[in-house]
Amino acid sequence: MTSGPILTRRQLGQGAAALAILMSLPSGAFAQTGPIVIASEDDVSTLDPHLIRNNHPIGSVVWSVFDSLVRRNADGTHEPRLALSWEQVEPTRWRFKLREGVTFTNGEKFDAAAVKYNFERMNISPFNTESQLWPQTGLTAIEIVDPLTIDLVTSAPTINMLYWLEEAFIGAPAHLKDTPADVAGAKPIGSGPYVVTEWLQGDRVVLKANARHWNGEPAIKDVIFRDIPELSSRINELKAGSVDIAVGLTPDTADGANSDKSKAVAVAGLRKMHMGISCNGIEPLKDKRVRQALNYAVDVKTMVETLLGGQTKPIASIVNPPNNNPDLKPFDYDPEKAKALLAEAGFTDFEIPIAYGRYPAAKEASETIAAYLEAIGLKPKIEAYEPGKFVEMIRAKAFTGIYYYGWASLINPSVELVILTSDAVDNSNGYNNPDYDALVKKASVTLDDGERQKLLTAAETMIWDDCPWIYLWYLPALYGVSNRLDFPVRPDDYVEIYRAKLKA
Amino acid sequence: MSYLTKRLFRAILVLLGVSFATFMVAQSTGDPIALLVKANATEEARAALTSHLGLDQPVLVQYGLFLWRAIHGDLGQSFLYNQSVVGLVADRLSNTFLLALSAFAIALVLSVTLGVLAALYRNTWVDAAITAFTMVGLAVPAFWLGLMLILVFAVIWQVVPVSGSEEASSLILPAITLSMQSTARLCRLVRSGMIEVLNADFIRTARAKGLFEGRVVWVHALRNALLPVVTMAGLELGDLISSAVVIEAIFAWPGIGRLAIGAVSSRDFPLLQGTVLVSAFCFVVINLFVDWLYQRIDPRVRSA
Repeated sequence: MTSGPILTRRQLGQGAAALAILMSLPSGAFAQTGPIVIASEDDVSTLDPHLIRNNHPIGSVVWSVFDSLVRRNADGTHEPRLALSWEQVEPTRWRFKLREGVTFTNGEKFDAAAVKYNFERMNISPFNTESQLWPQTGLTAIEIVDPLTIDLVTSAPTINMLYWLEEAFIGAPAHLKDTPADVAGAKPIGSGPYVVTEWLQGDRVVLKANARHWNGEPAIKDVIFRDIPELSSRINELKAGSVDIAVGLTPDTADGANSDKSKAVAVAGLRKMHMGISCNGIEPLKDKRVRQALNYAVDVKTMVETLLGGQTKPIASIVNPPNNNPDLKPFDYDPEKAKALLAEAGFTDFEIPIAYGRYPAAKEASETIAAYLEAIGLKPKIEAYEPGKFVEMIRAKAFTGIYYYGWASLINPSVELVILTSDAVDNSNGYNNPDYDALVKKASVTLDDGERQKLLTAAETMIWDDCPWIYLWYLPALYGVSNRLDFPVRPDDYVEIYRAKLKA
Repeated sequence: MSYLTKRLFRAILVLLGVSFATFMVAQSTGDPIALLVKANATEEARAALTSHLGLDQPVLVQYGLFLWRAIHGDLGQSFLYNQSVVGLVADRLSNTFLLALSAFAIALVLSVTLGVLAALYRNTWVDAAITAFTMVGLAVPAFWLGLMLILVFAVIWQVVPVSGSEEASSLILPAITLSMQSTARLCRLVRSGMIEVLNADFIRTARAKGLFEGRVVWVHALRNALLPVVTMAGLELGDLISSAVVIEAIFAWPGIGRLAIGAVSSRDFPLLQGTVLVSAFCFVVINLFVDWLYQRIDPRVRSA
């Protein structure tokens, strides 16, 4: 028995040549005609329309598959969707005219009863932990006037009805009623611009355009939301042309998305990054002058330029644009003034804990700020927290010094200001200012737009000067976007794929 | 009690221990409700969810219930996914197995081939090259190797996808990356084992009998050199399943590792317990299998 070589030299040569040809293929070899692929860090854990745990990716998919009565535009204006029009017939009664002839993708009819069923589902456990419609608007009753007219009754006049309706999505009622919750979450049926055709959990959600959508079929026919946790892999996919939108880039990696196939797109987000200053912790921080001193001590502008690559801007108010008071300006960097304020308050060299959890660049930001505070004579002590523990500390108002936090992707002055009122569940630093509380509460029941704006501006101006935070910057939202795509990015993280188009 | 029955009994104890430890450690990390719900959810909504998830019961009662259900094949509902843990874990486990077993196969074939070659051509350039390869394989961190392979084969040459599991070729890069460390370790073991055995008297006898060199090396010598390799390979397989966690993240491979990480960071207790218990179960089964294999290869163990 002789054992000859398995491959002849000639065969080997042919193989090598074939391999060489394969490897020298131009990088555009994979034609870009397939579906639009969106790559995100997080997994889509559920597609129950009433369990939207994050704006992206869950929110982005839900916005594609379901419709709401009203949709929030990128600039905060309200777009009629399943509602055609609305009016406040009484201070505590909102009346909505519904769109006629809309069907869910399983053939069920959309009408006032569907709205009522969905809204009532939002008010039961576990959906009421995510759906905020009832507690935030003071909703008490839903009354069907006729099949295409519905009244929402609130316990007190509310100005935030439309805002919260924009997060209240309507699913096919019989489907929601008849299927167990875990199946309903896995097999979403809505009336939105897309339908889910395949969902491999932890891998991808495949969407197809809904040809019978009331607003016409969207321009992009096939969409895939993929879960790619590793940032460098998202960027590599983009460069390889196999992903069209890479979500969640960071300032130091964004440049990697600039290739012959794609570019990095930055938009100053709406999440206001700040150092929350505990008002129920160490003594010095209860003094307004000390809190102002901290703001004068930190050079936010330089941090934005260096740490964040200039991809965002310092916040100039607790209210997001365009509703903010334009007269307010970020604090100047003035360490001398900071020292003077500290001396005036009688607290010059105290120890100050700095806590951080999970936000991008949290460690770097905390360390830089610690250095600035050291420069005015304080003794900063940095503490890193496991993200879950951090959230618990926030909820318990348990931080005693300052903590790196972000709040929040909102475009609604009333909602934004209410978080710092003393009895708000999400007031995380124990800030308690009765004058401020009174202004915000009064505004929330003032229906006259001009009057309310005056109250809100007064509250906004008061709190800016009172410094419950060290004001930092808007968390930049960074995307890598394929050159073949026209895609309007939003500052609040939602990916509205039905508004995207392929370039000609 | 026979050798295997004893091992089986011990395996059950191990699983009980693992389940109890996981349960208690998970509980001690804090309140999952805080991570599960929106910051501005009302107190009533939180309380309702707490009782809905059974988190208001005493810890030991929760553990007892968990154990009782687990025996009946029910690992509970995931907090995060609102789905049965068994279904979630089963889906992902098959992916992880596919990845780990592919890597294992690559590691076995490569390490035995290279190890035997290195032993046969000891102290030549062949040996030096293979030893250098194993050194690099051991020294290079898997995540770095993965990124480099992606860069070259998926971004520059585009012969395989960067990540995901949609195409069959998606498996190639993660399997190679995952196999590298095991290949290197096993290769060194095969080499030293073979060198030792090739010097043994019975090999000289075999050669003296006039057997083909191929038969001497691949049958007589290798079979004896493989004994330590089998033990090690069993450990390696367990190692591959746990190393897959990192590789799964880089290559967006929907395996159990990513599920477990998600469960940890969101304090999804049932899912966490489910993934750990199932992984522990796999380890135990692999070890039992290695014990059995040991008996097959080395008759001396049978009587021990």
